[in-house]
Amino acid sequence: MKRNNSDSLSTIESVTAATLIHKLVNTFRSVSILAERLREDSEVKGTSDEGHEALLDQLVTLTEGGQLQLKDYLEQLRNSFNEEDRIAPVNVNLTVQESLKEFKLQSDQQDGVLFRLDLRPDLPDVRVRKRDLLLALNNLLHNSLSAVEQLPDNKPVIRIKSHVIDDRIAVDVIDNGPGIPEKFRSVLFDAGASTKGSSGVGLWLSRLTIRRWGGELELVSTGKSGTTFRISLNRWELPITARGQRRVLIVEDELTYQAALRYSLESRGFEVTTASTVAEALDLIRTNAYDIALLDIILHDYDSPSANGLDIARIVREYNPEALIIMHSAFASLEYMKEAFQVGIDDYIDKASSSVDELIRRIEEGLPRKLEDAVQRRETRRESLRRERQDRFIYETLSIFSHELRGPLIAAHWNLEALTSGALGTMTSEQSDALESIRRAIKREFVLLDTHLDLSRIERGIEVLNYTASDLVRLMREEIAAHEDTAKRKGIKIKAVFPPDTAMVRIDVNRFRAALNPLIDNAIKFSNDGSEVSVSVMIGNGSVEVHISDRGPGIKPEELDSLLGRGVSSDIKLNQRIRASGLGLSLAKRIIEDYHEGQLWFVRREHGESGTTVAFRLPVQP
Amino acid sequence: MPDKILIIEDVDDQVKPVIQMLEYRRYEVVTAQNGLDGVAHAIKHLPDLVIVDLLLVERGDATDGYEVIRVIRETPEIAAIGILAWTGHFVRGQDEIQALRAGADDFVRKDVDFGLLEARIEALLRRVRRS
Repeated sequence: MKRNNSDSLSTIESVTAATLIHKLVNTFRSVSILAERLREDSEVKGTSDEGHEALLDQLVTLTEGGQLQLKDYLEQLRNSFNEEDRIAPVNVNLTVQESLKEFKLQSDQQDGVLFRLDLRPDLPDVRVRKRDLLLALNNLLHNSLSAVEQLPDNKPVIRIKSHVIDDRIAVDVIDNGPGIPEKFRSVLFDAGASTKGSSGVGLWLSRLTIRRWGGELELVSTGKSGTTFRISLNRWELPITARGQRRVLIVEDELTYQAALRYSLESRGFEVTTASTVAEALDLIRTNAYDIALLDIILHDYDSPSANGLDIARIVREYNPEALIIMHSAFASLEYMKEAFQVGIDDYIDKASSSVDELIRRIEEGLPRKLEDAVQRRETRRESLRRERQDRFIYETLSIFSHELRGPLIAAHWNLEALTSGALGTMTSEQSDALESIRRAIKREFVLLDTHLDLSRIERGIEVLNYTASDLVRLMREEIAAHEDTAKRKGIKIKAVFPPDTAMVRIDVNRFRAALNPLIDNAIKFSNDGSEVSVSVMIGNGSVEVHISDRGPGIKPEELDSLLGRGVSSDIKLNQRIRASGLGLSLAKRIIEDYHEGQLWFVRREHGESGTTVAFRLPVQP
Repeated sequence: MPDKILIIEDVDDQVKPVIQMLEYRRYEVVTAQNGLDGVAHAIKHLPDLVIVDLLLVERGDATDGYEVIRVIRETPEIAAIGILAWTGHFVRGQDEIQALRAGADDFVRKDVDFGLLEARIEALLRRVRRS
């Protein structure tokens, strides 16, 4: 069912907003059409002069710019009121960082502006849709930037601060600009106003979207020393212990019964909120967190005839995943009850046959279980956030390093080339050999860095893979040929065990080569001189499997996992092999598993066997 | 007379070995460290070939390699000079296309081996001489 709250306040506001923007767009359009006609007219009559022309041009440019901006807002408005969207707990600090990053990318007039983050660690998650918070932050940042631009002599500083105020989480955007002129302050949040007095709907729209989630966007202070805007938001989870009270939402349209319930629950120390229509209930659910929701099954709501208690239950579950939902009704079919439990209610109480005491008893019985769930959920989430942060850190650091390393690597590479070219004098053959092995090592680093950068570009959507149907057997043959020289230098023989057939796979050939390269490279690198590396290809069961084995010292089972990790392991106790091959292997794993529907793993050594076998499998094209 | 090559490159320890190699191969080498100097040197020395780094950021001048290429092509006295663009940046496709479209005659990545670099320079100089 569609969320039936067409009569709720915020939706009405959004419709008004959309209409208003439409009107403005039309006005702009008319102006630009008129200007065009005026120009044509004066051309025909021969009355045009240069000054005139320039003015008309300017008018057209201005109105076109205005139209584009308004269309942009309209789009944002549409997105932000798209009912299909779901909200999830939002981490304010991460969102602030994301928003600043994005802002720096899209805006180019921030030379010399100092951005300072003053983020309070470990803030609880908030109740807002992330996109809406990003939109509002972006808007405030734009305002601050244009404020500090007005003061070129001053050192422009924009500070973003996150903190807790009265149980709510607040983000302040503070600039040291000249302040907002008195005459604009009172209309700041009106549609068509802005901090500079020009036409704009940014602040108004941002406030609208923030308020939709029960939050607030306000001007805290403005003056000669700067301006502070604040977004404050409700916590995602209720701070239950704050007043020691549990919050109950009663949705019940029978008002006498509602009053009775309210009285009984309040006298037992619950904080009670009531709603008697679907619209009222939905607005409350969206903007507040409840511990308990008591829902009547059938509401005689004439404004929303199609909505019923089940729909409300579904939405409570979505917005308050940790709430105890109890349905109570005077009549319900077995089917209906089943459906209600599927939607996620926790208990069902028959109104006719049970007393209020029974209801209280069920609440007291149900709550502790819910709380345990909630604690569990929070811990899981904290853990995943921590991991996410760590991943991102490793990932970003690696990307920066990859870029930074290129400079010195190029310098090293070219200096070596100059040495080998003879430009700096002749060398003994031992010296040449030594240089050659350094040269190969550098080449290998280049390939790794490029593969990593390439992958990160793919992951960010800058690059796409170019898949074609290719024969893996042939590709393996070519890869082995490419490594023959390296192997020969160590006196290593590469034994290939290939089937006579072809194995057609869907791959991006260049990227797949980048995955194969470190696999074969490692096998050679870690083999004892004069030994053998074997590469075998097996086809069967709709897939093709490749095993690459060496007779080197092998890897301890407990080290295997870290070897295939995504990042680079920081554990210095790991043996040389892991440190030397970690990046290449993890790149190979990413390429094969993330982009080729394959799998990469180490084959466990049988007792008494030496060496290492790395294997991968790909689906075969029919 | 040896062929004259102007290298516009802002990273010293990268360009030094290239100069050594080119001088060893009996080219006359002139260098500039930023885009503006590069164009000035091109007009002053009228080299047979200009090698330009696409990313000239180290020396604080805002003129990047693409801009240098464009200016050279728009300046009549030096418009016909051969231009080889290079970059140490990670590239895949786009930068190369962009450099060639901007007016470069050829493009190499900085992790190129000297053998190939020399061959490209020779080929470019042959082409310049023919036209």
